[in-house]
Amino acid sequence: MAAQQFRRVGVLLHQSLLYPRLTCRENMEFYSELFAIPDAGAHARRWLERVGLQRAADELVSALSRGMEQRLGIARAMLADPDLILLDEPFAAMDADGVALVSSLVREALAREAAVIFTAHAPLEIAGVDLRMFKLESNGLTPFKDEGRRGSLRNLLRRN
Amino acid sequence: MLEGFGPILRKDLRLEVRTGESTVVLVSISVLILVVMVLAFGPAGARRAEVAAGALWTALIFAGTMGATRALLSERESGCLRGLLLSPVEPATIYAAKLSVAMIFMAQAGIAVLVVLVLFFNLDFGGALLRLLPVFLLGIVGLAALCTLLATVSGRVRAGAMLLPVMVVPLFAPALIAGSKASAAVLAGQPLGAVITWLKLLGAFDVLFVTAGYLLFEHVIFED
Repeated sequence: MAAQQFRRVGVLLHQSLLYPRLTCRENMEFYSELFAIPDAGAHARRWLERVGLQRAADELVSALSRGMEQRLGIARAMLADPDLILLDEPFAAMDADGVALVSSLVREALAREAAVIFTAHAPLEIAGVDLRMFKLESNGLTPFKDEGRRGSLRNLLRRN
Repeated sequence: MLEGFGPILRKDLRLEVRTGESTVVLVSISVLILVVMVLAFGPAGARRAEVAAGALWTALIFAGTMGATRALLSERESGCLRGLLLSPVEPATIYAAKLSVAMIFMAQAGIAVLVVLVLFFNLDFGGALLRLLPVFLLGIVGLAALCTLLATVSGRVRAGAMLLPVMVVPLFAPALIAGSKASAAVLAGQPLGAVITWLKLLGAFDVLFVTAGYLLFEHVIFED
């Protein structure tokens, strides 16, 4: 995959991909600059406000709680308004406000026609979003409500 | 073409200013190696220039392999390297930024080594040291290029940091010979024109490994 294609992809992994010795603001500015977003400082500030971390902007990431780091990780994944968003356990370590925040970010992404793919240990629910769920097994993907059909994600999405 | 170079360079330098990890490792190892060399060979004598040149390059090689690539290795260990690889920055640009950071760290260690060298070997500040500058800079470029490329390989295996000097020293041997011969001649008072062959060899080594690193980095940086 060419590096330029990553401009359209936002990824949240098990690791937050944030630099623990940089502050929240510095991390967001750094990634905004990597994605060549104009006025990276203002963009970083907007995202910190969006995920409720404006008061922790100058805290080192190593000093954040797990939930705060998760919020910042999601902001990092979404800061370039990607067309494809891959989120691994986005609700991990989140309180009720955090769950509502992630849900609203996902709804916004879907509203601008981005594709969002989650991986989770348990079925997810997001109010107002009709999720298509699959079980990931050694022999492929199975629709969660239809055990009889198996196949690759691409084929299953096409059939749905 | 080099989009993303500036942010990565600034980020690495900012982290170094904040933690000082690489600087401490580079300077302390360099000085330690020099002290050992001085104790082993003695600071004076007819072969003073040769011993000083040998000490300079020994310190640079080991400090360089251990300290200058520390930022890259810790970035991989913390998982943050994935953040770079999942960004729209070309791998070759990441290599160029990491190479520049390694060169800055090595130059920093080199200055510390030169100061200690002057004191321990009773060298004159001035002409000889100024003439040493091109030799020193050419050597640092090649060493940083080689270390940055090989650190991406060694970082993928357990105890990779320990493996790095084992891979670097044999490959750096031609430049090491050229660098130490040229340094010894310059420190003994010879003009730069007398060591032009060694400088050409160092330059060729730089071109080879900077180009190799630039082209190969994307093939060695991605994990399977």
